[in-house]
Formats: sequence, structure tokens, C-alpha cells
Amino acid sequence: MGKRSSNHDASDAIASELKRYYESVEQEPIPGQLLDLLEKLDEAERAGGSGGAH
Amino acid sequence: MSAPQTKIAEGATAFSFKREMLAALPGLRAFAVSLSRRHDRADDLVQETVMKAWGKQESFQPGTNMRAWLFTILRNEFYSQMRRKGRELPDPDGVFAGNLATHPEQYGKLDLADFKAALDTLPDDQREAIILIGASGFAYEEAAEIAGVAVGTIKSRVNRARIRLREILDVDGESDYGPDNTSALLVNKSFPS
Repeated sequence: MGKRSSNHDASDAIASELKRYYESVEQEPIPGQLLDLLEKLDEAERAGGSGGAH
Repeated sequence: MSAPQTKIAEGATAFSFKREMLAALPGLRAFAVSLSRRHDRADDLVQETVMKAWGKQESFQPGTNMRAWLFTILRNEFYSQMRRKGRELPDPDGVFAGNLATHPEQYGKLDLADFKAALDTLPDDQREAIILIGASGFAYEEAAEIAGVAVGTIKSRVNRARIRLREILDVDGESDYGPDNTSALLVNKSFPS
């Protein structure tokens, strides 16, 4: 049991760092601009009835 | 932003489209940052993606994977921007290895900035593949569809990316961490930044 595939362990380490990195970005607040944009698109669509996005 | 209470009668479809989009945003943005390597550019990409997706929401088939659909749009947008603008930054390849604050023997939790720097040295196609599979949580088939290539291609890109990261980060598996390697890796102290 002492030395199982050490490459496997290295991959585990890479995999967990990868997730940790990605999650750290996911947890950043969504820029307000982006939320505004969605809101506007939604409003435009509801106001115009069809094809809100110009 | 005051989230307006929905008039469900009228806007049911649009609303759930919007809501699903909102739910996908954090992941989409993380993918954009990983792909473009820059936050400012990533936010442009996400914005562009949201507009494009909204404009062609009729082409989205309800019940299919909204995340995969959005990721595909963003990915295509990224590559078409690359073709239009070209790369603004020189490939960081080679610069990184010398600056790495991490010492091989001490590999534990890398500083996230170090990890990102290592990730950023990967070729775009490899970085994209390892992110889709290893972080965004897509299956190989989905990632292949998003990237518009065969499943085997994704697999080999992921493998090459792993090997490359291992080399850069010096976790080549040669060091002996003792019997309980994995937990030792995870528990080890972070490096002073």
C-alpha cells in the first residue's frame, strides 16, 4: 500500500487545485453591469412582446 | 438591482430563460476567465455571450443543457474575437517557470495565483479541455460538443494538459510523500506569498 501510483496522486493534486481555482472565480460577485444587461434584455422583451434584443 | 416580481402569466418562458441564465453566470464567467486569462476580457466575453444567447433563445431547446449551450456560444465568441483581434499578450510560455514561488518538495496547496499562472501557460485548446472536464463538470461527450471536436481529441488534450501542469508545478509524482500521499498533499501548508 506504500507506493500506489504516484502519478495518480499527482493527478489528484492537480485536479483539486483546478477545482479550487475555478470555484474561487465562480464565487466572485457577478459584475453589476452584467446583471443590468440581463434585466434590460428581459424588460425590453416584455415591453416589445417579441425579439427584445436589438 | 431590485429583482422585479415576475408577471408569470406573460413572461413565464422569458423568465425561466433569464433565471437559468442567471444561474449559469458564475460558471460561465469562470470559464471565460480561464479561457481568456483576463478578467476584463472575460467580462466582455460573458456580456457578448448573454446578448447573443438572448437574441437566439428561440434556437435553444428547452430541456437540453442550457449551460452547455451558453458555454458553446462563449467559446465560439472567444475564438472569433481571437481571430479578429489577435493575441494582445505574448504567450507567457517560458516566463512562468522562473517565477514560480513554489518549491517542488513542498508542494501542498499552491497559491491560487501560481496555479492560474501555470494554467495560463497551457495552449488554449488544452486549457479549455481541462477546465471543461476538470472544473466545469462536463462529461467528455459534452466537452467535445462544446469544443466542436471528437471525444478522443478532448481526452488527449486533457491528458496533455495534466502532464504539462504536473511538469510546470513540479508534481511529477517522483517525490515520496509517505503512505497517505493524497491527504498529505492536501494538508500541507500553503506557501508564503
